[in-house]
Amino acid sequence: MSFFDPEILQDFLTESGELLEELDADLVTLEDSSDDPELLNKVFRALHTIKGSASFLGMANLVSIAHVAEDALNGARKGEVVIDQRFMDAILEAVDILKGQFEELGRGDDLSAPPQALIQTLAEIAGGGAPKTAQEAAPVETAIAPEPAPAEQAVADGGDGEWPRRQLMQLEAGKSELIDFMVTDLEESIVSVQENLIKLVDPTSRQDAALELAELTEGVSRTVEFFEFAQLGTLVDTVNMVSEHVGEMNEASIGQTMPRLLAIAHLMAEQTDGLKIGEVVTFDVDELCARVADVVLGHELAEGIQIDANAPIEVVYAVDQVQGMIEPNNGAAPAVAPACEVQASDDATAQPVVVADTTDATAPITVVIDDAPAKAAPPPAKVEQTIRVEVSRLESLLNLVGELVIQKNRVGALARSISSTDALSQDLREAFGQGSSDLDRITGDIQGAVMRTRMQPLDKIFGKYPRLIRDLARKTGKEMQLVVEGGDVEVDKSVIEHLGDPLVHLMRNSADHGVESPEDRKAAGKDPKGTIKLAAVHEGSHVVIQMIDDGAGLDREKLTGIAIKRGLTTADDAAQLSDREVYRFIMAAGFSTASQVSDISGRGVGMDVVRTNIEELKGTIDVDSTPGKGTTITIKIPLTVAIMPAMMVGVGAEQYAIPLSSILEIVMPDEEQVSTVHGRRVMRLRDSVLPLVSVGDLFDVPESTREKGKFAIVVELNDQVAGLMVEELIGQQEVVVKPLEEDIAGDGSLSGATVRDDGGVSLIVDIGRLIAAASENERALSA
Amino acid sequence: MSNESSMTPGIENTHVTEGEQLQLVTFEVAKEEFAVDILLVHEINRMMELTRVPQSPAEVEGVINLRGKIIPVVDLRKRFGFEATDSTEQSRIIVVEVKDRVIGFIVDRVHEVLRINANIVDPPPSMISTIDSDFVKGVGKLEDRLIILLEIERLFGAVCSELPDDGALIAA
Repeated sequence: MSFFDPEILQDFLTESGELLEELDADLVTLEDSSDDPELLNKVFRALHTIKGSASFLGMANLVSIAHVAEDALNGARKGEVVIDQRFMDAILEAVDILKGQFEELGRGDDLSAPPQALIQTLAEIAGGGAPKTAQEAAPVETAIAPEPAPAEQAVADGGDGEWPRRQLMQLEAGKSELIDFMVTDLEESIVSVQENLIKLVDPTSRQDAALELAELTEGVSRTVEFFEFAQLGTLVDTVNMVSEHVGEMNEASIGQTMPRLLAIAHLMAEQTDGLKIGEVVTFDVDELCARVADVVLGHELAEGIQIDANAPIEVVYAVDQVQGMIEPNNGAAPAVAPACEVQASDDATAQPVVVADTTDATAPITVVIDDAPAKAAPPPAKVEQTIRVEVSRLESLLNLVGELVIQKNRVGALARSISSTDALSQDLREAFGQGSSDLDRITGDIQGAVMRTRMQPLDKIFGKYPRLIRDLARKTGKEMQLVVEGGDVEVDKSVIEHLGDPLVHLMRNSADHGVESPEDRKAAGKDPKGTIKLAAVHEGSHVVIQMIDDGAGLDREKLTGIAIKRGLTTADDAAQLSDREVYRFIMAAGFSTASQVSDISGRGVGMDVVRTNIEELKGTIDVDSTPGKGTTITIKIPLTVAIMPAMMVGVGAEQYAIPLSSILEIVMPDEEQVSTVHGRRVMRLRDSVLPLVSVGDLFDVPESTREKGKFAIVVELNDQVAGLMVEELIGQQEVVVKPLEEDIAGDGSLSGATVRDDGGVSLIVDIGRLIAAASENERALSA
Repeated sequence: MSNESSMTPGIENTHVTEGEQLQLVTFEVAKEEFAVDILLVHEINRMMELTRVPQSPAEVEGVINLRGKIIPVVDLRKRFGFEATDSTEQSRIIVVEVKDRVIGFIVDRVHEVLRINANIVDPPPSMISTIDSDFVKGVGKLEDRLIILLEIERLFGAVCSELPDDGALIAA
């Protein structure tokens, strides 16, 4: 496989990889709603596409497993095969094997052969569903054909008036080697397209034919796109469009469409022939395609361009001004010209007019060309909806935006100091201020736009969970379902990356410890089938993800028992803890309630990791539970962690940044509000008492420069509240978070650094660790 | 311990390669002259405001903003155990890259870029009066003076603690 351009392979891995991931989720859904033909088709198509691309790349081992799985699905689609447990198990296993093979490809390893037993099973399931074509099933390991036919003969663009235009095919090295595969593939597809087009005329077989066509053309379209043959793409897309809308069309419209589609199929065959000898052949098809589109959209065609439903292809060409398809032959053509059987015209002549040699004598072509000079409007330009960008480019863009924000802050600071001097004229100062505020706004917009490019829907990770839950259900013998909501909520890429593992842990916990066995559930008067709900919503600049199970809930007594045993609390203290504080114990390192360690969970490492990961994202996690009713875990994370609003505070000569998201309020406590308990300073705020932490003491700010802390910044994280004493409030600022290398960051009360508007560096306070440190001290002191 | 090859692979090489040229940046700390390989030096900056990092290792004086990247800065005076002084007009921050890490160090002044023949560099003597010989890669014997070639990775031992100790100051 070494002859593949790594880029082609990468494209395959990314695109088919995405399909594979979707497959997982779709298959699990399918298991529950096996009567959903749409879904079944989607799954089938996904596998079909993967197989197609893989066979195109000559990956025999991948094709063989994809092929049997596809066959089994095809059987199900036709109603010949029942979707049962065995079926799903086999298909899912096949998907797993494919995933493994993708990993091998990614590593550059050779593909391992799929287990023969599985292939056997799938083949048995598929039953009568024989392989579609031998070609597809067989490994496509063909030697690279020599350079295609003499291309010098081909005439370059013959000027505006001449059709068809023939151009030498120009392909990147990696792609040209693949063209032979593609041509064979195309020829087969076009034969099928033509067969199905004929079926399309008959109302009884129309629906099936349309489905087939949609699939076929999608496959062809992908291949063509890959090779960047624009016109062939347009033609294929036209057929595809019709196949998708044919259900809504009336007979008259179909009558207008069919001959044109057959003509299109004929042209496709012509073009494929051209490709065989290394030519890209283009015809003047704008008019033709535009008219098909008109018909599909339900427009009535003008009288002059109406054609008889049985009109021969050549009439179509004439009416629709497809120039280049002239060259009369003899007699009238049948309505359905098997032009698909066109053979390669070996004598690739340079004539502007080409007629394919047909093996079938019944397919002569007579065309009376209407020389109407009317120039058809160009077809709407094909707009690319998405492009793939390397992550590193986005990263560097984000870094640059970070720099821009810093400079913007600097200009803003300059503008403020200028506004209060007399050094410049009033006009200049105002102009400067205006410029600065415009810069501020635009920078904000750019920042938002760049951030959005990094956003990805949560479905990217949510999509994997239905499968996880299904497997867990099978493993534990429980019945459960996963309900996912808000998968379209978008968060920053880095958030997606850090969120995947924690959610898996939580899901496993819910499935293993939360949801009870069907018997227990029945006994408790619940639906024997447990439900785990995963829901995400936007909440301001945060996204809130909730995982709700309707299981047994957490047992306060059991938790406090373990907590006391592990020395996390004392019996006296435990009695005073709120339920939530007790539930929080499950996130302590090494805490496990499971009496038995299973391979799903119970080792007591999971929740600790969950908490750490979430805190890394500057998020919070909260556990709530009602015994007997279930447990709800709420995760709240900022949409992005790269740039955030912060309050800049002064301590001595130093400045620190405190994330605004953690700040509840800022107060100036009176003497009487502050007192000392167990040697610790605390502050009474309304009806609660919170520990005070002097930022100056904590960070060993030189005493000589310090004054007494005046402001208490009340911060909250994970329901824990503390007051940070600082001397000065400098103001709110967007800070760009720069990593601080771990070995210089000390004990971790700092989460990073940022560049101030004066170019200096300020450190960002890590509220989570700070509160943890504060409460630990408190415990140590009170003990 | 003067000739432990594991410590001084670069020097060993410079000894066998007759006539190889070394290009060094020389600078002064507490009246001693030191040098590092010019290839390791990214840039030399005037003193700028350092931000102290609480609870960081002792030799880290603080961090600076180097065009958007936050890098640690080490004060060589402190590192060598010399008396700390306030920075002067002449003080510079030499920014070096060691094993993909960018680190700055403060020196009293930067002298020059010097080209010397590798064969006049001796391995570190067992005892150098002023600084720990662990930091020394070799001693360049010029006609009129001695220059101490620094073993830069050892110098930032704590800062670079996670790095394997097999680097060479002088790119052979």
